[in-house]
This record gives sequence, C-alpha cells and structure tokens, in this order.
Amino acid sequence: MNNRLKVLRAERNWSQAELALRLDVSRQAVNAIETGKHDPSLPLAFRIARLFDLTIEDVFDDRA
Amino acid sequence: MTEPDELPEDAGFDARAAAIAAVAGIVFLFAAGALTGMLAAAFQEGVRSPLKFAGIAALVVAAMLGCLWVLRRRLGGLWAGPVSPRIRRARLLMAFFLVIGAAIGILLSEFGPVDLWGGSARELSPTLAIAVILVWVVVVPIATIAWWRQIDEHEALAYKDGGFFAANAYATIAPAWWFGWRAGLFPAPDQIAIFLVTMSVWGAVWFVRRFN
Repeated sequence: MNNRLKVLRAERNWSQAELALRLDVSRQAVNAIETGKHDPSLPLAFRIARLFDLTIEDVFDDRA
Repeated sequence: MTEPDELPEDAGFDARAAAIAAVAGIVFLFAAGALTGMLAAAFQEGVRSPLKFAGIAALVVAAMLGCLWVLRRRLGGLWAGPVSPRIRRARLLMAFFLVIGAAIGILLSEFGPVDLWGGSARELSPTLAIAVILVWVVVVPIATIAWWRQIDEHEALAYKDGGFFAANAYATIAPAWWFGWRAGLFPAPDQIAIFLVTMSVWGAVWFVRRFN
C-alpha cells in the first residue's frame, strides 16, 4: 500500500526514531510502513493519521 | 549519509551483515561453552599448568570480546535512537531471552547428547536440571507472555511468521526422520536436534521479518 508517511515525517523534521516514539512502535515498524513492507492495522493507521491531523485516506492509498 | 537513528528507505535485508553477526554469535556461544568447560574441569580436577591455562582462557575471553565487538558493530545500529517505554520493556525482555538462550546453549554444549568439545559428555546434576526446568517451564513462559504484551504489531507479525515456518519445519523434519529411522536409513530421531532446528527457523524468520 502506498503512503505519504516519509514525506509527512520529513515535513516535521522527525527522524524515524522520533516518529516511532510518538506512535509507540519500534523504528523498524516505521521503516517497514514507509517502505511498504508492512501495512499497518486499522488502529495504528488511525494513530498515524491523527498524529498528522489527517484522515487515513490522506496518508494511505491502496490504489497502485 | 544515513542518520544514525534512521534506516534507509530502501533498506533491504543485509544478508552479509546478518551472516557475519550470526557467525560471531555462534563463535561467542562456543567460546563461552569452552570457557565454562575449562573452568568446570579446573574446579573438578585442578590445573596442571596455570600459565598454559591462563593463556588459553585469555585467548577464549579475547575471542568472546571480539565477537561482542563484531555483534555491536553489525547490529548496534538496529537499536539506536529514542524508544517508548513499551518498546524499551520489549527490548529488555528480548535481552533476557538472549541471556537465557545463551545459558541453555552452553549447558547443551556441555551436557548434551553430543559433546562438542571432543571429550565425554558429563552427566547433568539433578539440582542443575531442576533449576533449568523451572526456568524453562515457569520463568520463560511468563516472560514470553510479558514480551508478547509489549511488542508492536510489526514484531508480532514477524513472530507469527516465524512460528508458521517453524511449525512447518518441525512437521517436515520430525516424521521424515522417524520414517527414515524405522526403515534403518537414519539413526534414532534426536529430539534436541529437531528442537534446535525448529527454534533456529523460528528465530531466523523472526529476525529477517523484524529487521528487513
């Protein structure tokens, strides 16, 4: 699944570790989501969207 | 240049680094087992040549320190950066499992059915056996449940994937070995060997999924 996580994170000058800290997940989890290797669960997707004040659709796109 | 607390976007699994780390880990365990055996033999039978004993022990300790240095160099970056309290607890529990695993590995190498050091395998005392059993059936399951409650969903998925492959490895190896043994093709199935292969598959898949 495509996502804008890396861009959103870069806009805030957050490292992967900082984002992971805010989401209460590991840095590897953030990296896996950013690179599309892991699709987050719905609860985590909501946490990510809320952290950036966006909707899930603003962050994630399931269209290829 | 990649920031210390940032993994590259296109970071694939570094098979070379993982292989080097795995070799360093195995050498560390063997060296720890050798040192344990040396110390146990020294306590039981005394030391004939203290200078020679100290020299060999120093070499073994140096090898262990070298392995730790390699492990830190190859894998240290994986744990860099700030972490939440939950992830920190998960890491501490994982470190605990590594210590338990190393201790069990040393015991297996010293008292297991196959003596890795070329001598005769010593008998395991009932006291030590009961201590190991208690740790294995009480402490480790409790710590595993505690760890499971702390990890994030990415690691949980890696653990489940590892379990899937491990279960299939066990379901493949155990019956095949048993049939081969019944037909006189193989020696009797070694439960510890099958256990070690199963857990190795589980650990390897978890590691690749977790850090890929």
